[in-house]
Amino acid sequence: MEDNFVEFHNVTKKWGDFVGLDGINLKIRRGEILTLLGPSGCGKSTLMRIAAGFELPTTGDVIIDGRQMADTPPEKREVNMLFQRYALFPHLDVFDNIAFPLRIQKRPKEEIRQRVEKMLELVQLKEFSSRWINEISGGQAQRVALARALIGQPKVLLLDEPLSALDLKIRHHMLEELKRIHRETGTTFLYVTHDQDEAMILSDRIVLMNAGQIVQMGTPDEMYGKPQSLFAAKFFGETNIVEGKLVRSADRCAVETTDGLITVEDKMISEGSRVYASIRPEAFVISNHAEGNIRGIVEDIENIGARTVCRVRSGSGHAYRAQVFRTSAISTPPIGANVALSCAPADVVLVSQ
Amino acid sequence: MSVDFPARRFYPATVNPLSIRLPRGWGLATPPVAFLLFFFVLPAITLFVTSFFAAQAFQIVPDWNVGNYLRIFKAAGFWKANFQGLTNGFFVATISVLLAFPAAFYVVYRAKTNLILYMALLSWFSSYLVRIFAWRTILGTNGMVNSALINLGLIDAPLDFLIFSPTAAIITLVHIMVPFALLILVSALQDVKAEYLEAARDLGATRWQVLTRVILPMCHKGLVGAFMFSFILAAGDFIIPQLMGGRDGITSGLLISGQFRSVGNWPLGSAMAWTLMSCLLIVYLLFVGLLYVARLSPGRRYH
Ligand SMILES: Nc1ncnc2c1ncn2[C@@H]1O[C@H](COP(=O)(O)OP(=O)(O)O)[C@@H](O)[C@H]1O
Ligand SMILES: [Mg+2]
Repeated sequence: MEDNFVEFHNVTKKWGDFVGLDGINLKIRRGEILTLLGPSGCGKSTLMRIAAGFELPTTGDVIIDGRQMADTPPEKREVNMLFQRYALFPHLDVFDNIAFPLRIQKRPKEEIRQRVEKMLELVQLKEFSSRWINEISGGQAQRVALARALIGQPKVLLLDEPLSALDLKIRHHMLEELKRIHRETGTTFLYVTHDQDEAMILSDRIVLMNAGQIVQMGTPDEMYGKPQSLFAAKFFGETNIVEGKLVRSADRCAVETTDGLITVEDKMISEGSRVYASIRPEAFVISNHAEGNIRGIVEDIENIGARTVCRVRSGSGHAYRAQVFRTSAISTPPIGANVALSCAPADVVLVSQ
Repeated sequence: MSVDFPARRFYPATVNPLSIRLPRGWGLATPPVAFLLFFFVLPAITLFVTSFFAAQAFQIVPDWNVGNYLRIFKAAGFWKANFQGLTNGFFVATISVLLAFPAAFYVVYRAKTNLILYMALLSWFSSYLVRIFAWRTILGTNGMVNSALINLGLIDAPLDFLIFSPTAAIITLVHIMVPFALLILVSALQDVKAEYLEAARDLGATRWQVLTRVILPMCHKGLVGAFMFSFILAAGDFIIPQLMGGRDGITSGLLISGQFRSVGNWPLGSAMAWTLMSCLLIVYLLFVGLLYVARLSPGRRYH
């Protein structure tokens, strides 16, 4: 069911001549986690601040749950934001920080107590309700901020790089926590990050942005497996990019590169056009016999945890990274060995510039 | 009020980012504490002790009695003057803070440069007395205000309450105090990062609620500092009341300085000074209490 909850129609934001956002069209579905992903400065925070009402779009509309937001100030929008550095009020303790939105709404005391306690339970901070803000850790502050943002039961929770201030270990734990809290509250999450791993782990759908525009949109699998541009292919994980010309014969379609022909699936691209082939390191099969598309010499071997990646220098001087699984029957070739790399046509993704 | 985000603490607390060996513990606070001790606490104690002595023909007799205080307690003239001093303090502090707060808000959150702040502080380049006499020419019988009003045909004769009245003293004192209040409030507001204001708006607070529930409690120290600073200096001032205040503008500060400078009754002057100081302490407690009752104080739990 298409249930578009938040819609951006042709949203553009300009500061003088500088175009921060350029014609953004985006629909967020009820209850999903949608991630805005992109390099720093591509306009993610700006889009989020437009949704929250802190910035007004130069042109275009924002619609939340069927209502036009153009004349609605931030405090009237049923949207809450989790700030990058939490912005917890230091003059209030944990309980009163979480109670802040309800006190603003002048809810009865008893209701406030019950709801704050429920939130404290949700974020697992029951024993910390009387701590001052400078007496809790970064991870706890994050959870207080989350409780404070969720207690008013917003229609959408905006999270702007919420994990960037945390160290790596807590970050993974918090990702799991965010998923659990999303499950338990059913709130729609609009999440912003520049880290593709975070986006892959957390999201139902990912929106890849670059220079104020949406580059590609899809599920994490689609984004990883079917990048539609060089930018998207490079942004999601490690990949090998080979430039070449598309050639077609009676029975096969291939890319003609300086290292020979790489067979690809026929995707109706006109013959002779310049394309880029993106091949993931794990798509390569390394062998020591002559069959296979790319020949070269093993130059370096990196052991990264459970996997081993060989750097293979081809005849034309191009370096490829190919992955060998520790468990595979094929043993890792030694440095200096002559090897051939091959891959299934389905694993070669052709992208344009 | 200082707020530190755990993520922004660049150095562990035990590592000194400067390569200078800094004194430990109270070491860094010693010079100012020593200064205050010698030039404030000791003289204040001396005054306190003296206030229980008696003055007789050009000498002070250490006869330990509360006569000075009894005399002050019964002197309606002193209380009238003291009330005038406190009234000056109240209006000067209130007006200065009310004028300085919006300006400080503008400097911290809106202005792109510190130009406004520097322009306000520019008045410090002229001396105190010069500024007083400037106001005398502005407010005087033939001064700018009266001439302008007469030329516009709004009044027939000069308004004489403009100068040599408590109002004139208050106007001049406000002029002196506003830059101080501004500086104190700017530095207090700089700790209230714009992110807090946005967070409060985001959580449903109106502009007014952001002011009363976030900004004011977070810059409590600055508020108390700016108010009490202007209050104390204005209430104790004896030069502006003398030059601008006229007959009705006599303050306890003026009486105190008179005891020391012309009458020569140090014990009575000391007792008056301590009486004024106690009144100022009460004002401080009242002001802090008012903020507390109005829920504008930090560090309170509401659950
Ligand atoms: N108030 C502003 N005035 C001018 N330029 C701005 C303003 N806010 C953001 N920008 C610019 O817009 C671009 C996008 O910013 P932002 O949305 O914060 O990026 P991201 O969150 O993706 O890192 C940046 O180049 C930034 O410099
Ligand atoms: Mg950002």
